[in-house]
Amino acid sequence: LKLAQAELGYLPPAAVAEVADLVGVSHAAAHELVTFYSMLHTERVGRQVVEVCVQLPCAVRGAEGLLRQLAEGLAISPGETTPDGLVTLLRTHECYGACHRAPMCRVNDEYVENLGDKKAVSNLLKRLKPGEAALTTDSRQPAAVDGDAAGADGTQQEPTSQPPAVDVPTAGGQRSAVGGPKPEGPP
Amino acid sequence: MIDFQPILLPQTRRTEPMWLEEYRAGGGYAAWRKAVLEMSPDQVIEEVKASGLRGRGGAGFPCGMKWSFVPKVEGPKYLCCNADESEPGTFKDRELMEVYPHEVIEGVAIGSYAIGAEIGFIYIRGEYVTAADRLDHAIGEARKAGLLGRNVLGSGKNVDILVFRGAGAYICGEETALLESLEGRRPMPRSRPPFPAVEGLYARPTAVNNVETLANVPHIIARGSEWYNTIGVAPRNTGPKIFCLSGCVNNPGNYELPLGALTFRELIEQYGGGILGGRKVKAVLPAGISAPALPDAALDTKMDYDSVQQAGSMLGSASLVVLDESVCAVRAASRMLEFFRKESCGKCTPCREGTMWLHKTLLRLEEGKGSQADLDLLLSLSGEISGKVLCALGDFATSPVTSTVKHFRDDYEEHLRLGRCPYDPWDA
Repeated sequence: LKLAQAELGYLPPAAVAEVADLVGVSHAAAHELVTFYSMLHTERVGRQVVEVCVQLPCAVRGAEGLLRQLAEGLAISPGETTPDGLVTLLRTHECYGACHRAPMCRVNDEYVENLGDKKAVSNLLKRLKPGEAALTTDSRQPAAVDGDAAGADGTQQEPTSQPPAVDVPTAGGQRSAVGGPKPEGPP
Repeated sequence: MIDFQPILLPQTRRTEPMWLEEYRAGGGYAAWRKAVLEMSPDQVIEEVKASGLRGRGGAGFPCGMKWSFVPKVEGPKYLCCNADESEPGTFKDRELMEVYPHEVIEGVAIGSYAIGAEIGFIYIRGEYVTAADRLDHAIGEARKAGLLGRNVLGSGKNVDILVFRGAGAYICGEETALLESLEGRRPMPRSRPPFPAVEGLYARPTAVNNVETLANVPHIIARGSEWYNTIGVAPRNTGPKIFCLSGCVNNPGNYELPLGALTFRELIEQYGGGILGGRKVKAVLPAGISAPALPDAALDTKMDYDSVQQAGSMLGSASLVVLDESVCAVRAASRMLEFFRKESCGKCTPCREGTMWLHKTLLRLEEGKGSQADLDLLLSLSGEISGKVLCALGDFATSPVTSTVKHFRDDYEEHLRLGRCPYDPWDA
């Protein structure tokens, strides 16, 4: 499933079914994994997924303010994707183990920490905002995601071509440098 | 400050990984060599038992005893290193794995040998990409050096380690849910018995140990249990412990100290640099959000398993979240219950439904729309969850509620009286 998501950016039902057939489990067994884990997406997400931890240790150090500044800077609400499909902003209750460098967020797989002052946040926004290098050619459609269920995918940092959702390539493609389970067992 | 040279995290503030060459130059893998070439598995277990090492993941169960429960039967057995560190306020295993991956690997190797496992899994949360990549690299180094794999160091024994990356679920830190996840199923806790020691991964004998627990093991084997007993408070609270200090303190971070050496207050003031803005401590959560909050009156409690338990809470993973007087207890409880509501796996009805209603009730109270009856409802709901579920998540979820109602009832009453929250909002 992680390999399929690495290729597609998310896991549409057809991809989940194909993975299930490949490893020999029922479609339902695969589906119930996709809906359980926060790092697996059932909906399209932006090229960059920004997850702001607002759990207690971060919350008492300005995480809500960070979330508000990012939302204002990106002109979207938490849980939404920018209209150009580049950035998805998520408010998450999960703790990422960076409480000593709070407030923080994850941008795809990268930890961006110590975001307590406005300058650090504006630097991050500059990086995220459309128009920046290497991010201008994206043609992905915008889509809203469920803020409760979504999380960053482990393998989205390299911009890749975006296949249409209905055309599901096989999941046995090239493994990315990061993420992906060992071959010993699913998912 | 006390005079103590950290053992598990020897170089404070280091962030770069210590690779094999440097690790070996500092004495690394001497314990592994000693264990696999000079000691029998039983001798390893006895040494760890004698050290008094207790599980650092939260439960504090004696590590050597856990290993001794694994039956000596033919066929595959497994050691699983629990690296699904997800408890809010906990970031010790991350530093261990990111900076000292070989220390963790050596511990997993020795543990695997002790219980007769040829494969040790490290189940790491999916978000810890850097730590997982570094572990993978370090395992590659160890294999190349003949420290892992077939016929380790010419001993005739086979021990290898595999890193398994999770995909985002707090419940996977629960040992039987972790095993379900490893097997590729939805990670819902199993009912016990059978315990994992008898029927664990793939229905085979399995030991599940926390990262920090296993990182202690090489030091115990290399320097002996007698030495280990001189650290901390023998016999039940021995060894070093990494205290994760976060929340409203000036210098949050990991501080490795002997168990029972300091009180909460001493750690906060001497290491944490006191409270932000010179404010006063309101509460300390000693084990992330899962253990009951302690009021400032308990700050002079020594930080070891037994003392914190006597004070009415749990040392657990020793993840101290410090809340100061500007933090609303009702809002804090509500935020914590949001976590448990969303992380409840849904298997047991009392937890699935109970955490939802606890969170809803807390939200209502925080907005000032609650009633006196809601306070009673919180306590009765907590009673309906506690002890009536398969795993500890349900019990943990009641801790923020019952402890804040007990120690900070004034905050709740003030919300009821004013019809609003008397504290400043968090996004100011």
